[in-house]
Amino acid sequence: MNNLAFGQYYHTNSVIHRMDPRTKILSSLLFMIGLFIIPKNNFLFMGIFALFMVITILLTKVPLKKFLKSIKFVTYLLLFSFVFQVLFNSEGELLLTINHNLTLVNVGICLVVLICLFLLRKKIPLFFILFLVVLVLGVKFLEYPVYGNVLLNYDIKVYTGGVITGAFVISRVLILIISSAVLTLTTKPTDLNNGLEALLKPFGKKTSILAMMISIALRFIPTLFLETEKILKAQASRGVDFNEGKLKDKIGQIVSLLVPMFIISFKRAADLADAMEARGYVPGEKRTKLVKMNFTLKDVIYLLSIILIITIVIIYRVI
Amino acid sequence: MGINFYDVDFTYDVKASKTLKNINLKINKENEFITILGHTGSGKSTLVQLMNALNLPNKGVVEVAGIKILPNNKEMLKPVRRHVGLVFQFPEYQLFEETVLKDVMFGPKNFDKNNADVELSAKQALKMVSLDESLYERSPFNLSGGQMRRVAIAGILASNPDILVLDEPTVGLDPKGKTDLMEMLVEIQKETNKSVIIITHDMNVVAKYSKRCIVLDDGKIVYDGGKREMFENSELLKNHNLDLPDISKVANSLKNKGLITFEALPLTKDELFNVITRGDENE
Repeated sequence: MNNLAFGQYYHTNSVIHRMDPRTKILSSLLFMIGLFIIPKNNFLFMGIFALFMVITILLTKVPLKKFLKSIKFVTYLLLFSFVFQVLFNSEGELLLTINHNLTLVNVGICLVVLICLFLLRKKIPLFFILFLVVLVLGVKFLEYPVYGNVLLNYDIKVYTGGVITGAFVISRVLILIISSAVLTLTTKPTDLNNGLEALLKPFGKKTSILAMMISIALRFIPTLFLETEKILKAQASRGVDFNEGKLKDKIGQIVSLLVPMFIISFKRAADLADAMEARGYVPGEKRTKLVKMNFTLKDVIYLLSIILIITIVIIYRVI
Repeated sequence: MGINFYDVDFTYDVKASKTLKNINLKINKENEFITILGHTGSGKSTLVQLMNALNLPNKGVVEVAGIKILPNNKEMLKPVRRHVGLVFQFPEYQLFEETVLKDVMFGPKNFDKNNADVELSAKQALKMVSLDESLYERSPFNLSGGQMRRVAIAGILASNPDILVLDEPTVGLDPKGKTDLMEMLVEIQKETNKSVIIITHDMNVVAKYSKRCIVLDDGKIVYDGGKREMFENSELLKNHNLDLPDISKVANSLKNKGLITFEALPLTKDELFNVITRGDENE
């Protein structure tokens, strides 16, 4: 449990890894803003942004699997927004019409299939692809009145505008997620925190306290995790079985874990506060850093290229 | 009965090297007073957690009171934990109830749902660790460190385990607290005949109390036997980062100066005293 990873930092020591955390934070921020000022359905600019991201991903030398993992969380959101666009956007030409005849039987079959899929979702590899296939088949299947009276008959009209806007929205969200993944995959949490602190400096003295709080919280998550494991074992040897028991027992079991954890955390916090004070920490006071952040040529190039792209987008929009 | 290890391997992380390798061990249910020695990271704590099924072996069998603990077998662990009471390092952190008595009652209540005699056994356990009756209704968090540790040990004793295992019970106590605690354990062992197993780094504790020593190094048992043989085997001590008890060091330096002579290395105060007074008679 020692190697519990936070954030999802993946070490490869690439150019992107060695870049100043300030650059990376700033550039992903600018990049995200840029994504949202691209004119609607302009795939040329989206292509430029995508190309930029692809180059960055190649530079990071992080396995592609890691990026795909970060997309995994939003697949259903993407699907939903695509379907939403396709169903309700009626711009452009009519692409196809789907005539649905709903009867008790075919709706019932669809529901059963969906529930089965939902229950089996953990056991099927590449579940998402299967889900897509089933979805398409289901939509097709609903056209035929299998048995019994037709309860509802309606048309779904798909227009080209809907498909195009759907694709645009999906690519925008995809690139957005990947750009934030680039930031978290290539920057250590502590560096991220230092960068954030440096960037927030102009906004007031107190921001350094915030940054310190974040870094301490990050630092102590694994420690508290180990501590929890220890208490868990200690209570298990006193006959607590965290897997069984009624609700009433469960509450008692959780109390037997929570109380010691609270006491340990408060004690640790007090000790740490003393240790920090003993080493001269004054909240909000100016502090020197062990690792100086260096703004080098690669940072300038990376930042400038992003600014260039965004400027082109802005000029295009204004004209 | 007791605890038996048959060819046990254990590892926390399948990718990493084994924490324990090929452990074969037989511990009786009664009359043992074992100390487990070995430097940090040699697998002592892991070994005792296997005795109480908190860790399950990756290979081999651990048999506790006739119950076989096999790899990936998560049934029947509760009775095992009842047979073997394990006191963790710094056990005072596991206290959580409102009163001392309630906290000690927590263990037996978990093991035995019909809580008729729970209070009785809790009070007996508290008596065993000689905690004053006036403290029973106090919050455990208002006690001193030594008292808290006694309460925690009582919390294990209350479930009446056949074998008592303690992971560095004297760490962080003052010298008097240390001696008191050890004397208490000896007393409990004598009274109830329960086997006691202690992990320790303190050679004085080993010399004074232990009947049998088990030395671990790099996950392997490198010695299992009496303390005298162990302390007289200087090769073994040197190879596994062990030390002599203070009394024996004194005895050795006196011998080197030619002040006393002895055949058997004195391990305790009394033994050294005997050697010195006998020397006087000889002159």
